[in-house]
Amino acid sequence: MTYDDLLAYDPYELQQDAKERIFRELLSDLTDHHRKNCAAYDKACALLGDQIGTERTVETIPMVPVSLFKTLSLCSVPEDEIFKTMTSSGTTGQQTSKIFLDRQTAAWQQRTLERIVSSFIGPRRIPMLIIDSPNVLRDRNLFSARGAGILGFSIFGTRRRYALNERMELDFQTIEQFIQEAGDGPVLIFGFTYMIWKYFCQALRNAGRMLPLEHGILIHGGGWKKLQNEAVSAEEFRAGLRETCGLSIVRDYYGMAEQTGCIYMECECGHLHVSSYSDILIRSMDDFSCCENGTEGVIQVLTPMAHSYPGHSILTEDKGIILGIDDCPCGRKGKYIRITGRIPKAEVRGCSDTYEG
Amino acid sequence: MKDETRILSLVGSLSLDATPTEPFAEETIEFLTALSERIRSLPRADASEELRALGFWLRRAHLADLKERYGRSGSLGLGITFHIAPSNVPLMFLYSCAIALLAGNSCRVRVSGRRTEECEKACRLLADLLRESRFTDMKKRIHILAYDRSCTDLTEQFSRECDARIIWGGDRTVEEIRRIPLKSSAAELAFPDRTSIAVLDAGAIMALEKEECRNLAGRFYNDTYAMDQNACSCPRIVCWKETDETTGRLASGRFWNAVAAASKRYALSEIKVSRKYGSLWECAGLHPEIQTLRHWDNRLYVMEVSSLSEKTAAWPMQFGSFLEYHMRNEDDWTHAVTEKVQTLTFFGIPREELLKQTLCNRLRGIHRIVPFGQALSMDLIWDGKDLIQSLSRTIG
Repeated sequence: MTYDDLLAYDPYELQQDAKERIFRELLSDLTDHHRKNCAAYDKACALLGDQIGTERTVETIPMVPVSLFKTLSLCSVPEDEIFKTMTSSGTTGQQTSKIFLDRQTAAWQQRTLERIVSSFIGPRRIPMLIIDSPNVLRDRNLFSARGAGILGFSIFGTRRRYALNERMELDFQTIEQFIQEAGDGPVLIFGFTYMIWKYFCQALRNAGRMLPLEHGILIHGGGWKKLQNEAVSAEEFRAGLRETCGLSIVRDYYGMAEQTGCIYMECECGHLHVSSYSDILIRSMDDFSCCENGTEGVIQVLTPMAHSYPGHSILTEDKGIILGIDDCPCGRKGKYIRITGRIPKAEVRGCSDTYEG
Repeated sequence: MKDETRILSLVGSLSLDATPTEPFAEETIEFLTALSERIRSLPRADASEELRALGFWLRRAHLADLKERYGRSGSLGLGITFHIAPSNVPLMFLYSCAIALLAGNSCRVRVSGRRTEECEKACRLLADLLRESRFTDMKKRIHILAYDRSCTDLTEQFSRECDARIIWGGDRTVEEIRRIPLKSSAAELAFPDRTSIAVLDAGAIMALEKEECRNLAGRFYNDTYAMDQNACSCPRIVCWKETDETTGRLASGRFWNAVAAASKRYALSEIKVSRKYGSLWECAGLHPEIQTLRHWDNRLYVMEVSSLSEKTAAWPMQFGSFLEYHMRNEDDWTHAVTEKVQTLTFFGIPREELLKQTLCNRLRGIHRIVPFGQALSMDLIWDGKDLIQSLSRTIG
């Protein structure tokens, strides 16, 4: 089986045990591939006791700490096959991750995202309203997770319009034109959770305006941290969008640049679903044992998609819970999860790093 | 904005007395002893190990001992000292303050905005003490304050008026503050990033009784885990002196098993595991010298290296991650020493031997050679500098 074969499955048709049989083989082969082609990865795996050529279980595939993509350049294909180098993310001043993509992996990323998202919005492309400023793609400094997310989702839009101007203010002229052109058909509204709340939902409220977007499907990602800081709950977020735009379909997603495309979409029951194309394990940080379902731990993400860089098994810095397997009332198979936040960056002692704050 | 609104005074007030005292002046010793008593009378549950260690360090007998060793007649302090304390060794600011007081100075101590409970508690004790009438004079000698890092004009103001500036911090902090001028006569002490190493004798480990081995591991725990292995004097490399390979292997196994047992009480948070696992991969990927990895869950990582170089000591070892090296020659440890290496912690080898190796090899680093368990104790000679002498003047 190859990743292409896996992509032939519907995103939510595979039961967990069937999926695990497939993943065990694919991920094990992929581990060998990366060990043979990425020296740094090979060295670390050898130290951790991984043996080339053995059949590993999904749980025993070595986990690469997500920070490693920031500190090292990890690549498993010859340099001349690198098609694109993706950098991410996060807040200014921090080091960025470097992800090396060959044509194959880049194509798989796009196909994966397509498979997952189209199962929510349908197979046809629809008009798309992006809740951001067009600058986000032009300005190199802004081009981060936000830009990458917008570019990734742009494949679903026939017409793409930006709802905000360069000053991050609502561009009513563009929005109204968009609504007029869309008529009664479905539309996709996409943006980052915090941007949507602050510059769209709240800005509409402050302006005392309502938008007729009841045919829209809103997809948002990027995490809740900033909204939690402002004590805005998911319910308030949804209520705000219902009230200002008549939006009833609002879907969160979880994803990361290190496994672009493999996103975890929220279903109508409010659960984030693991698709056929990736898997999630929850690890206890005491000894890296796997947590039982329902127990919070640190998220490990796995996907056989990562061919050109050794990112097929990554230990993230996010926390979450597996809520259940194969039995979500929405009917989707596989695991469904909840993200509970980031690992808290509590104080660490020592002389270095002083005079902060 | 007015200074009053930007400065949070935790102890004392803005105006300080520039009149010096003699080093180890009786009123200073009196005051610090009183502070020691306050700390030591706290219920055990109320005082962290570090706070108790500070109380112990400030007890009268120890101060008398320090006076005996470092005091000198015919000297006076410099005047006003300005301290930039580190944010994450919570009580370092008080050691720094106490030392400058002992040298005969007034102290303005900037503590980080990210203050810990320990820091707040110590400040409350200090402030209470200053309310006693017998310490009225001390009120004009101590000012502990917090202000935002962005208020560089305050750092400029305090730098201009002080007679000595003391910077504890990472290299970046030291560089940043050094750009701010002092008055021409003022002195400066800077304590930038350092790292440390340990040497052990394998035979001596094998000769230990079970209980002794446990105690030794406990002392090693205090030298490392107690400060997240993140302070300058926490060892990162452990070098074995051994008569033969077998003894070396056995001793290493025995020692690390004991350390793993001692580390059970370590508060291993998720962020610490995340960072140490990240560093493990980073080192493994970058450095071919790393031969093997042993780990006890996520509490203890030990990586054996096939050689030591000047770069080895700079590798990121934190939260219970160690590099281990079996020496072929007894002074092989010196290969890891650069000017950035501060403390050599030892067990089972005479200190004189290590001092001799330091001198014979004319090393640029190694400022302290101390037995296991004392890596973190504060000395008045620090980074090779006599702090009392540096913060006072001798009348010739």
